[in-house]
Amino acid sequence: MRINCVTNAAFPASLIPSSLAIQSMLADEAKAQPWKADVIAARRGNQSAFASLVRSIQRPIFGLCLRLLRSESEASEVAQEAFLRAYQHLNRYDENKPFDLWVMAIARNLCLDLLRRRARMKSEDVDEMRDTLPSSEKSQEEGAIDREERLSLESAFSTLPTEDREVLALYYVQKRTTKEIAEVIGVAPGTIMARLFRAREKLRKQMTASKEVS
Amino acid sequence: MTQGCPDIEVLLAEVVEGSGPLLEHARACEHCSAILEEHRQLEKDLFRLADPLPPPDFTQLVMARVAAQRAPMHLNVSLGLAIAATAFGLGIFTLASAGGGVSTVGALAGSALITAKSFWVGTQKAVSLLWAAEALPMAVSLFIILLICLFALKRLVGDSRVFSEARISG
Repeated sequence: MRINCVTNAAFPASLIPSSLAIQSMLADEAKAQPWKADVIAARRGNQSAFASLVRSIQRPIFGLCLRLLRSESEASEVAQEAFLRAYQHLNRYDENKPFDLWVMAIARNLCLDLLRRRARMKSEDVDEMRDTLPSSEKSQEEGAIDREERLSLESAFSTLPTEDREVLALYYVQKRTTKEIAEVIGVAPGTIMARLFRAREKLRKQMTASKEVS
Repeated sequence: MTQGCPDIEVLLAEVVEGSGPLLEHARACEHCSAILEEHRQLEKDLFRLADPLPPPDFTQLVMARVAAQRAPMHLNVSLGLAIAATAFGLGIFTLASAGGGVSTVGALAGSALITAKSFWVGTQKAVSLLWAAEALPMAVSLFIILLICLFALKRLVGDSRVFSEARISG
């Protein structure tokens, strides 16, 4: 971005921020709110700006949907719908708040709606998810947990209730802060840690039980 | 769990705080320290999980759906107010500069007010007479008009449910 700095003789030069300082301030703001320029452009009808927004946050949005819905096809469908709704209502979005959290909250609510509608999960959905989750690119790259361990962790994870899965996915998988999670879920930040402990304890018990069975 | 062992959630909260009587107990208790160790290991494993990649054509699918939509309407309230204020100011200026225009507009406004009042009174009388004579057809007609208005309003507003649910103030 080009900055035109007009100096005024009435003010000492030291009081006027230099163009470098202004550029630095703008760069800091862009770093803090990387979505802002694209959101403004998308609001004016620039679809490639919106595509850039989609590309930048599609993975966590799809990831959360998949962990909540446990079906790749439904997760993809719901994540697309969340982005579409975000686009349709961009004028209501406050660009000072993180764009990814806003879309995340929309996606989460769509997932919960679908879960409410869904009478009960079909067994083939679990099988589909087992094949999908460990195949993530990052997991393969890191290779930190071997396939068997990861499968048993994902398997135990998928048996947890929705409210436990969402809090674990947001905190551990997506590395969100408790404040961000509280904003997405719509609860007080102080309750998130307790939810995490409860969910982790359920997961530990589930894993212990499955180890005993095997 | 042995007798005297604390609730695990309370113990975990103390682990985060870094000190406390329950933590002292856990250090001495084999059962509690084993559970805490399992939690530590579980945390490590959970932190290593990653989000799966979306389908390769995900962005294209989203953008195809976006392209089928109308461009989002951006309501610029301040710009609208500025335009309205400018138009109003120009109107006043034109009237003032025309000389005598303001009094003409005042007379026209007064006349319009009287006409509107007589129209309102006449309409009220007509409606009450019609209601006395044909109440049922009138009620049905009003109901149909109401339904059409509501349908039109719904189409105009669209689906705004997402914002009440998103819980992020816009």
